[in-house]
Amino acid sequence: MKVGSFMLNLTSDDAERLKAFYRDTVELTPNPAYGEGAFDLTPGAVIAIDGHSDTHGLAKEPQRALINFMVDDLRAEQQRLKAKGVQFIREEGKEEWGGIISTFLDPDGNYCQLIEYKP
Amino acid sequence: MQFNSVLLNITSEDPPRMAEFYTKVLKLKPNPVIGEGAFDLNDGTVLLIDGHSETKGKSKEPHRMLINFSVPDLKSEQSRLKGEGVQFIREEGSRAPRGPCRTPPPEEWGGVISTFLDPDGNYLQLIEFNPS
Repeated sequence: MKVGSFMLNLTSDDAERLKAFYRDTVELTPNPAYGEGAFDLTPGAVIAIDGHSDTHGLAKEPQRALINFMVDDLRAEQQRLKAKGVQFIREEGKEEWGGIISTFLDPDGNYCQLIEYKP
Repeated sequence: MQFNSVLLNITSEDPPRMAEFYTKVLKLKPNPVIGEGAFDLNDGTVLLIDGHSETKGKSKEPHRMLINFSVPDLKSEQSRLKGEGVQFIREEGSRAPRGPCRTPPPEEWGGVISTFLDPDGNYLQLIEFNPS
Protein backbone atom coordinates (compact mmCIF):
# COMPACT_ATOMS: atom_id res chain seq x y z
CA MET A 1 0.00 0.00 0.00
CA LYS A 2 1.24 3.44 -0.88
CA VAL A 3 0.99 5.41 2.36
CA GLY A 4 1.22 9.18 2.11
CA SER A 5 1.26 9.85 5.81
CA PHE A 6 0.38 7.98 8.92
CA MET A 7 -1.90 9.02 11.75
CA LEU A 8 -2.50 7.29 15.03
CA ASN A 9 -5.88 8.29 16.45
CA LEU A 10 -6.22 7.91 20.20
CA THR A 11 -9.75 8.31 21.52
CA SER A 12 -10.88 9.17 25.03
CA ASP A 13 -13.95 10.23 26.95
CA ASP A 14 -11.80 13.02 28.38
CA ALA A 15 -9.93 14.12 25.29
CA GLU A 16 -8.98 17.48 26.82
CA ARG A 17 -7.15 15.81 29.70
CA LEU A 18 -5.36 13.45 27.32
CA LYS A 19 -4.35 16.27 24.98
CA ALA A 20 -2.95 18.24 27.91
CA PHE A 21 -0.87 15.22 28.97
CA TYR A 22 0.73 14.70 25.56
CA ARG A 23 1.24 18.44 25.10
CA ASP A 24 2.39 19.58 28.55
CA THR A 25 3.84 16.46 30.15
CA VAL A 26 5.21 14.31 27.33
CA GLU A 27 5.88 17.58 25.49
CA LEU A 28 5.05 16.52 21.97
CA THR A 29 5.02 19.24 19.33
CA PRO A 30 1.49 20.32 18.34
CA ASN A 31 0.61 20.01 14.67
CA PRO A 32 -2.22 22.49 14.14
CA ALA A 33 -2.48 21.56 10.44
CA TYR A 34 -4.11 18.31 11.58
CA GLY A 35 -6.30 20.09 14.05
CA GLU A 36 -6.39 20.79 17.72
CA GLY A 37 -5.20 17.70 19.61
CA ALA A 38 -2.76 16.59 16.89
CA PHE A 39 0.95 16.22 17.59
CA ASP A 40 3.97 15.34 15.49
CA LEU A 41 5.56 11.95 16.04
CA THR A 42 8.04 11.85 13.18
CA PRO A 43 8.05 13.58 9.78
CA GLY A 44 4.84 12.36 8.17
CA ALA A 45 3.46 10.71 11.28
CA VAL A 46 0.98 12.30 13.63
CA ILE A 47 -0.92 11.32 16.76
CA ALA A 48 -4.39 12.84 17.00
CA ILE A 49 -6.47 12.76 20.17
CA ASP A 50 -10.23 13.13 20.21
CA GLY A 51 -13.41 11.70 21.61
CA HIS A 52 -15.38 8.64 20.54
CA SER A 53 -18.87 7.62 21.57
CA ASP A 54 -17.75 4.07 22.47
CA THR A 55 -14.62 4.99 24.42
CA HIS A 56 -15.16 5.24 28.17
CA GLY A 57 -12.86 5.28 31.20
CA LEU A 58 -9.50 3.55 31.33
CA ALA A 59 -8.08 1.38 28.58
CA LYS A 60 -9.25 -2.20 29.04
CA GLU A 61 -6.43 -3.76 27.04
CA PRO A 62 -3.50 -1.34 27.29
CA GLN A 63 -1.01 -4.07 26.35
CA ARG A 64 -2.59 -4.52 22.91
CA ALA A 65 -1.10 -1.36 21.46
CA LEU A 66 1.98 0.31 22.91
CA ILE A 67 3.39 3.65 21.82
CA ASN A 68 7.18 3.53 21.99
CA PHE A 69 9.48 6.53 21.93
CA MET A 70 13.10 5.76 21.04
CA VAL A 71 15.23 8.06 23.19
CA ASP A 72 18.97 8.67 23.60
CA ASP A 73 18.89 9.01 27.36
CA LEU A 74 16.14 6.94 28.91
CA ARG A 75 17.10 7.69 32.50
CA ALA A 76 16.98 11.45 32.02
CA GLU A 77 13.63 11.31 30.23
CA GLN A 78 12.19 9.00 32.88
CA GLN A 79 13.31 11.36 35.64
CA ARG A 80 11.79 14.31 33.84
CA LEU A 81 8.45 12.52 33.50
CA LYS A 82 8.46 11.21 37.07
CA ALA A 83 9.08 14.74 38.35
CA LYS A 84 5.86 15.68 36.57
CA GLY A 85 3.99 12.93 38.39
CA VAL A 86 3.85 10.36 35.60
CA GLN A 87 3.21 6.81 36.79
CA PHE A 88 5.75 4.21 35.68
CA ILE A 89 4.91 0.51 35.84
CA ARG A 90 8.34 -0.64 34.65
CA GLU A 91 11.62 1.18 35.10
CA GLU A 92 14.75 0.57 33.09
CA GLY A 93 13.87 -3.03 32.27
CA LYS A 94 16.62 -4.83 30.41
CA GLU A 95 15.59 -6.74 27.28
CA GLU A 96 17.44 -9.79 25.99
CA TRP A 97 18.05 -7.98 22.67
CA GLY A 98 20.04 -5.31 24.47
CA GLY A 99 17.50 -2.54 24.82
CA ILE A 100 16.28 -0.83 27.97
CA ILE A 101 12.56 -0.15 28.40
CA SER A 102 10.53 1.94 30.83
CA THR A 103 6.75 1.81 30.66
CA PHE A 104 4.48 4.66 31.76
CA LEU A 105 0.78 5.38 31.71
CA ASP A 106 -1.14 8.23 30.18
CA PRO A 107 -4.25 9.52 32.03
CA ASP A 108 -6.40 6.88 30.28
CA GLY A 109 -4.04 4.08 31.27
CA ASN A 110 -2.68 3.60 27.75
CA TYR A 111 0.83 2.18 27.76
CA CYS A 112 3.64 4.37 26.50
CA GLN A 113 7.24 3.28 26.56
CA LEU A 114 10.67 4.83 26.49
CA ILE A 115 13.22 2.65 24.71
CA GLU A 116 16.96 3.19 24.73
CA TYR A 117 18.94 0.92 22.45
CA LYS A 118 22.60 1.36 21.69
CA PRO A 119 23.75 -1.62 19.66
CA MET B 1 10.37 15.07 24.60
CA GLN B 2 13.47 14.41 22.53
CA PHE B 3 13.09 11.18 20.60
CA ASN B 4 14.58 9.76 17.43
CA SER B 5 11.83 7.50 16.17
CA VAL B 6 8.50 6.00 17.15
CA LEU B 7 7.54 2.37 17.23
CA LEU B 8 3.91 1.35 17.45
CA ASN B 9 3.76 -2.12 18.96
CA ILE B 10 0.58 -4.10 18.29
CA THR B 11 0.37 -7.33 20.24
CA SER B 12 -1.55 -10.44 19.30
CA GLU B 13 -2.22 -13.98 20.37
CA ASP B 14 -1.36 -15.02 16.81
CA PRO B 15 1.47 -12.74 15.61
CA PRO B 16 2.33 -14.82 12.49
CA ARG B 17 -1.24 -14.50 11.19
CA MET B 18 -1.20 -10.76 11.85
CA ALA B 19 2.24 -10.31 10.26
CA GLU B 20 1.06 -12.19 7.18
CA PHE B 21 -1.92 -9.83 6.88
CA TYR B 22 0.24 -6.73 7.13
CA THR B 23 2.77 -8.20 4.67
CA LYS B 24 0.63 -9.87 2.03
CA VAL B 25 -2.68 -8.05 2.21
CA LEU B 26 -1.76 -4.53 3.29
CA LYS B 27 1.65 -4.86 1.59
CA LEU B 28 3.49 -2.74 4.11
CA LYS B 29 7.24 -2.61 3.72
CA PRO B 30 9.02 -5.04 6.07
CA ASN B 31 11.78 -3.65 8.26
CA PRO B 32 14.12 -6.60 8.86
CA VAL B 33 16.54 -4.43 10.84
CA ILE B 34 14.00 -4.07 13.65
CA GLY B 35 13.09 -7.72 13.22
CA GLU B 36 10.41 -10.13 12.15
CA GLY B 37 6.95 -8.58 12.27
CA ALA B 38 8.28 -5.03 11.83
CA PHE B 39 7.14 -2.72 9.05
CA ASP B 40 8.04 0.80 8.01
CA LEU B 41 5.09 3.16 8.17
CA ASN B 42 7.26 6.01 7.00
CA ASP B 43 10.67 7.43 7.71
CA GLY B 44 11.15 7.01 11.44
CA THR B 45 7.88 5.31 12.31
CA VAL B 46 7.73 1.55 12.61
CA LEU B 47 4.87 -0.87 13.27
CA LEU B 48 5.89 -3.96 15.19
CA ILE B 49 3.65 -6.99 15.67
CA ASP B 50 4.48 -9.50 18.35
CA GLY B 51 2.93 -11.55 21.11
CA HIS B 52 2.00 -10.62 24.67
CA SER B 53 1.01 -12.96 27.47
CA GLU B 54 -2.14 -10.95 28.25
CA THR B 55 -3.36 -10.40 24.69
CA LYS B 56 -6.00 -12.96 23.75
CA GLY B 57 -8.43 -13.22 20.85
CA LYS B 58 -10.03 -10.17 19.33
CA SER B 59 -9.49 -6.60 20.36
CA LYS B 60 -11.98 -5.63 23.09
CA GLU B 61 -11.73 -1.91 22.43
CA PRO B 62 -10.81 -1.40 18.77
CA HIS B 63 -12.20 2.14 18.80
CA ARG B 64 -9.68 3.35 21.39
CA MET B 65 -6.77 3.42 18.98
CA LEU B 66 -7.21 3.65 15.24
CA ILE B 67 -4.38 3.26 12.78
CA ASN B 68 -4.88 5.59 9.83
CA PHE B 69 -3.18 5.36 6.47
CA SER B 70 -3.43 8.44 4.33
CA VAL B 71 -3.68 7.30 0.72
CA PRO B 72 -3.86 9.19 -2.59
CA ASP B 73 -6.73 7.06 -3.97
CA LEU B 74 -9.01 5.63 -1.31
CA LYS B 75 -11.44 4.00 -3.70
CA SER B 76 -8.82 1.94 -5.52
CA GLU B 77 -7.09 0.90 -2.30
CA GLN B 78 -10.41 -0.12 -0.80
CA SER B 79 -11.26 -2.16 -3.94
CA ARG B 80 -7.90 -3.86 -3.79
CA LEU B 81 -8.32 -4.77 -0.11
CA LYS B 82 -11.89 -5.99 -0.59
CA GLY B 83 -10.63 -8.16 -3.42
CA GLU B 84 -8.31 -9.74 -0.87
CA GLY B 85 -11.27 -10.46 1.41
CA VAL B 86 -10.70 -7.67 3.92
CA GLN B 87 -13.77 -6.78 5.97
CA PHE B 88 -14.83 -3.14 5.85
CA ILE B 89 -17.20 -1.74 8.47
CA ARG B 90 -17.39 1.69 6.85
CA GLU B 91 -16.92 2.50 3.21
CA GLU B 92 -16.07 5.90 1.84
CA GLY B 93 -17.53 7.77 4.72
CA SER B 94 -20.80 5.85 4.84
CA ARG B 95 -22.43 5.27 8.16
CA ALA B 96 -21.20 2.16 9.92
CA PRO B 97 -23.75 -0.56 10.77
CA ARG B 98 -23.15 0.17 14.43
CA GLY B 99 -21.71 2.92 16.53
CA PRO B 100 -18.15 3.74 15.57
CA CYS B 101 -18.92 6.39 12.99
CA ARG B 102 -18.70 9.81 14.53
CA THR B 103 -19.84 12.10 11.77
CA PRO B 104 -21.86 11.69 8.61
CA PRO B 105 -20.02 11.56 5.29
CA PRO B 106 -17.89 13.22 4.25
CA GLU B 107 -16.07 14.30 7.39
CA GLU B 108 -16.75 17.88 8.34
CA TRP B 109 -13.10 18.66 7.56
CA GLY B 110 -13.54 17.37 4.01
CA GLY B 111 -11.82 14.00 4.16
CA VAL B 112 -13.21 10.60 3.27
CA ILE B 113 -12.67 7.61 5.54
CA SER B 114 -13.04 3.86 5.12
CA THR B 115 -12.63 1.59 8.12
CA PHE B 116 -11.53 -2.03 7.94
CA LEU B 117 -10.45 -4.78 10.31
CA ASP B 118 -7.22 -6.71 10.68
CA PRO B 119 -7.42 -10.40 11.74
CA ASP B 120 -7.55 -9.37 15.42
CA GLY B 121 -10.36 -6.90 14.82
CA ASN B 122 -8.17 -3.82 15.28
CA TYR B 123 -9.57 -0.82 13.44
CA LEU B 124 -7.53 0.40 10.50
CA GLN B 125 -8.58 3.29 8.32
CA LEU B 126 -7.88 4.63 4.87
CA ILE B 127 -8.10 8.40 4.69
CA GLU B 128 -8.19 10.45 1.54
CA PHE B 129 -8.04 14.16 1.97
CA ASN B 130 -7.49 16.48 -0.95
CA PRO B 131 -7.89 20.03 0.30
CA SER B 132 -9.05 22.20 -2.55
